[in-house]
Amino acid sequence: MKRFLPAGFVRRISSVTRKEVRQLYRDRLTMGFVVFVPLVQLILFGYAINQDVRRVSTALVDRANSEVSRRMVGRLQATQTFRVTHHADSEVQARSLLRQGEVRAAILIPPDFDRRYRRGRGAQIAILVDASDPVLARSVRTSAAGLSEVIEHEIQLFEVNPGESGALRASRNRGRFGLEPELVRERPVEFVVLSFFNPQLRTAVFVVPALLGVILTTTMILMTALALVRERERGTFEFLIATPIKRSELMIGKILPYVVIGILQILIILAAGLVIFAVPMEGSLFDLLLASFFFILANLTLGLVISSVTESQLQATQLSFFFFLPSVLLSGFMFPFEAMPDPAQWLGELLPLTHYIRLTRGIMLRGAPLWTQWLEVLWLLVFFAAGLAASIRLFRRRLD
Amino acid sequence: MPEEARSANKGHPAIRTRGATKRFGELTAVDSLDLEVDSGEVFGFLGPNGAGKSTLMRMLMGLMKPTEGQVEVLGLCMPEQADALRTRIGYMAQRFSLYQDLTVEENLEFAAEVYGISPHRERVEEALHEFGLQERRKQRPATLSGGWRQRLALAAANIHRPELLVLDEPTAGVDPENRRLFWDKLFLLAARGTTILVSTHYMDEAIRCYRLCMMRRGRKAIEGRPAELSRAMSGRVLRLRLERLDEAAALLRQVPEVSGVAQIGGSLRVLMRPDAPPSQQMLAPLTDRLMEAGLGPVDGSSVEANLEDVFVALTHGEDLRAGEEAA
Repeated sequence: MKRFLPAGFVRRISSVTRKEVRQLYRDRLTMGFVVFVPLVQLILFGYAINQDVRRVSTALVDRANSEVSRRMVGRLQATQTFRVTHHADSEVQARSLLRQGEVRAAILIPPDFDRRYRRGRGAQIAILVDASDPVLARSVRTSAAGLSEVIEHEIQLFEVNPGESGALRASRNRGRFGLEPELVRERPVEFVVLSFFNPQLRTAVFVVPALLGVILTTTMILMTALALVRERERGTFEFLIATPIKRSELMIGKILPYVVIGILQILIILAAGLVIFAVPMEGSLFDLLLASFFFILANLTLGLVISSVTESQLQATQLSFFFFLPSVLLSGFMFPFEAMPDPAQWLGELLPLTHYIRLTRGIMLRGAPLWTQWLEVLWLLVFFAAGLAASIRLFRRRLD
Repeated sequence: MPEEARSANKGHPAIRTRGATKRFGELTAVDSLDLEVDSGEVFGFLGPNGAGKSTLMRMLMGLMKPTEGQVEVLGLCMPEQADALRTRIGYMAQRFSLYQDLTVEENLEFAAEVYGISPHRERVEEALHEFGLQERRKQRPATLSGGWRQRLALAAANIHRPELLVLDEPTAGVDPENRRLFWDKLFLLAARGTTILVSTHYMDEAIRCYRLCMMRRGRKAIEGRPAELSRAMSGRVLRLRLERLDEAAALLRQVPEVSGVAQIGGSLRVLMRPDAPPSQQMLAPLTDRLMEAGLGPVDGSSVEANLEDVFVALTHGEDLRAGEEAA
């Protein structure tokens, strides 16, 4: 063995290793990451990876308004998939709520539902679902089909005579549920799920608008996170802080070029998305660019905050990724927002990416004008203002 | 800087510190320092590494807050009034702190702009000319030699024609020729009325200052004109010419009256302790000891002390202020 290892081989390796360990130990932030990143990752993934879409905000148009229709709505809500948040008078109104992103689904019950149900013929409830998220749409479809089966099964449970033929048994039991026995149908109630906005349930359609935000999050935060700390590492910081330049001037001057870079990135991804993936562009390009501008600002100031509190480019990079992880997992990019437990949703609401994804999907897939989603825009602006103020406050113009 | 404002400052100290102290945890980098620098002076700081020179300069710039004591620069309290000071003061940090990825010209333009010079074109041209940087205007600092790089840094620190320049070891690592040129520029600026505060390790530079402050372990060890400082050491230095210098030096270091021995070319420079008899009287006994040890013949003489001797005495822990007061 000795033959293969030149003299001092092991000793030199061990000296390098010991030096690395010492340096690592002294870099407290990195050590913190060694411990915290796996923990946070575990918790985030554990919470976020969940394809069970629950409590989808739903508009109800109940034009039958009967005891039976109310019972059906109750059954739908009991599946946990739907949560009626809006009552609409017409299908037109429900569609507009869907377009604005106020609701992700709508339940439409026709005026003749009661009559058809009692006759056991063609009792249909239409469910419109915002299929720009294919996962959500599939979930709704599965849940509705499941409920339909359950109702059918319940009716059959009340069988009287096992020897009777299937059709007769069904009709007899239907009588017990107030159905006219002479009419035989396989399903007493049918839920017809109609996909809105992305009828083919193509994933690319759903992913590309969100990808705009994910790509901007990585590049924008990282670029400004390094912007100040780089000056510190290269020694130019000492020149800068000795000049009359003000903190706000420095901060704003630092982010401006990246705003242009961000807009450029948007245009590139957008062009590729439209050409290669045939993603629809239902809304206005101006709205999308304006939303992107606010989102870029929010991310850039977050980068500045990171840059103000870190001492090296490595630390700044680590901190950026620390933020990037929940952004991807909790924003509704990877998993439907409706599938996450409440604490994860609250955390997700804080992230600019969550709001930006809602905006891009709204504008591109549903053609919703920007002003109808003003709350999302407001949050981006609040985030920007708070970030800028924090970075100016945290940035130290002294060396001690 | 208008002329009348400059002359208004005449006579007033450009810098005044009272008990200025800076501590970093356990370490006291600057220890209750009293300092007064007149306007128009070229004032030098001399001291071993870690003596607190850079920390003091950063406090003067308002980049560090003194733990205790007052720091007043151009009549402004530091660091509270640092904003008002910045347009009137120029600073060269110890580490080159301009942008390596901008050209000489772009660096100066940036400096001019952040100092609010408008329009800056003319001033940048002037600075390029003044510091002989015209031909190198398109070069990046990374491709400049140390001397040129430092000249660029000085040009940038002086771009707004400050009343006071604070230069932290501006010629470290620069060759003698370029150091001389650098100092020529400093004196040109001083002649225009700029007060200059400069730290250095080089004796030939220290001797060119109007006044000097030697620092040791955060304290002021001694202060005065270079000639005064060397005079405080007079009668304490011997030069001995002989063979086998290393053996002779080892022997001399054993002598209780000897504070330090340094080899200068083919001779030894021997510094006596402050309580030793004058060097004239020490010559004979030392020569005898060397002859006894078989290290002769010795050609010795008493010589004038220079700043380096003062510096060596300081680093050996002598308290020169006691001697100064007695003299």
